[in-house]
Amino acid sequence: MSADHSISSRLLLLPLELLTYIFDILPNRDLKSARLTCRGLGNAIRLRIDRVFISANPRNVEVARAIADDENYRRGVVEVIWDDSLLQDDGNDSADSSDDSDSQDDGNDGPPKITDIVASTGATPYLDTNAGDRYLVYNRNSWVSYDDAITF
Amino acid sequence: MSGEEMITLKSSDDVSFTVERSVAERSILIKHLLEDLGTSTEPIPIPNVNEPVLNKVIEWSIHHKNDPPSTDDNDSENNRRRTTDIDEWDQKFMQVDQEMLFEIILAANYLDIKPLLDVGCKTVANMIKGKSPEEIRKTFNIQNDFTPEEEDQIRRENEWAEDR
Repeated sequence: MSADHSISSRLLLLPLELLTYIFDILPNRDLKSARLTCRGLGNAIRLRIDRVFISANPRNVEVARAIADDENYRRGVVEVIWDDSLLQDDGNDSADSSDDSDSQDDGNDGPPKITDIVASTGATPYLDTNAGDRYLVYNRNSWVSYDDAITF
Repeated sequence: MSGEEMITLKSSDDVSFTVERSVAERSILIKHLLEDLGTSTEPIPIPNVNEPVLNKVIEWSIHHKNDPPSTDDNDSENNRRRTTDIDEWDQKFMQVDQEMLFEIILAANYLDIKPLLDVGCKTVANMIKGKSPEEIRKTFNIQNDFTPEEEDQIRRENEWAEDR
């Protein structure tokens, strides 16, 4: 039994539900460190990604796309924060963006299009007349608010 | 202890503990069992918990026997989230070696003693909080078994998330 103890971590022997219970209390900062310790925790611990940021900053777009392409993480997103007043409303684009085959054109030709990024979630745009913003609702309780040519 | 019904619990290694019913009933598993049995004079076997661990669990249950029953709704779930505060008595109680700490967590889970499970999990969370990956490995005796590619992948995903 003591031989066993020296090669295996008690933490790693916990059932997944208890591991999850422990890591639920900790902020992402600590989850990130724990995920980097070993394969077991890397696979077991999921980051909490409930919002993504979209702006003219290419890095934001890169991350948003990576999350949108990740089967696990994309489902956890309940909020997309759009932060750019330069967005052009492009009516043609939303029609064919339901498949993400066009998602490789990495924002080097003008501002990225929010419709590309949220298309994979099947969101539908609504105009919020109170706030004067456009927002999208998807996966039942997820939303995104943004400004575009219509609201400006 | 006048008149309160006494319950006998028997550990996996056949050691008996006789405690007040209110102490035993900190365990929801035992509480439901007693409700089903009516009054029982037979010792209740706890097959998954050995003597030293059951002893600790009972020590905790005696100290907390008058706690109001936990209303485990969304509310307490929210309170639990992100708070790693532990009351002073519980902190002292949890100053045990790691083997015992994890045994207590498993026992609390099996016996369905949620407040004890919370304390145990918070204790482990506090041992992780603010540490680097290498420090966490040291604390929990974890071997780094990543290939460089796997580690890169984890690092990449980590960058997607905010720190909060």
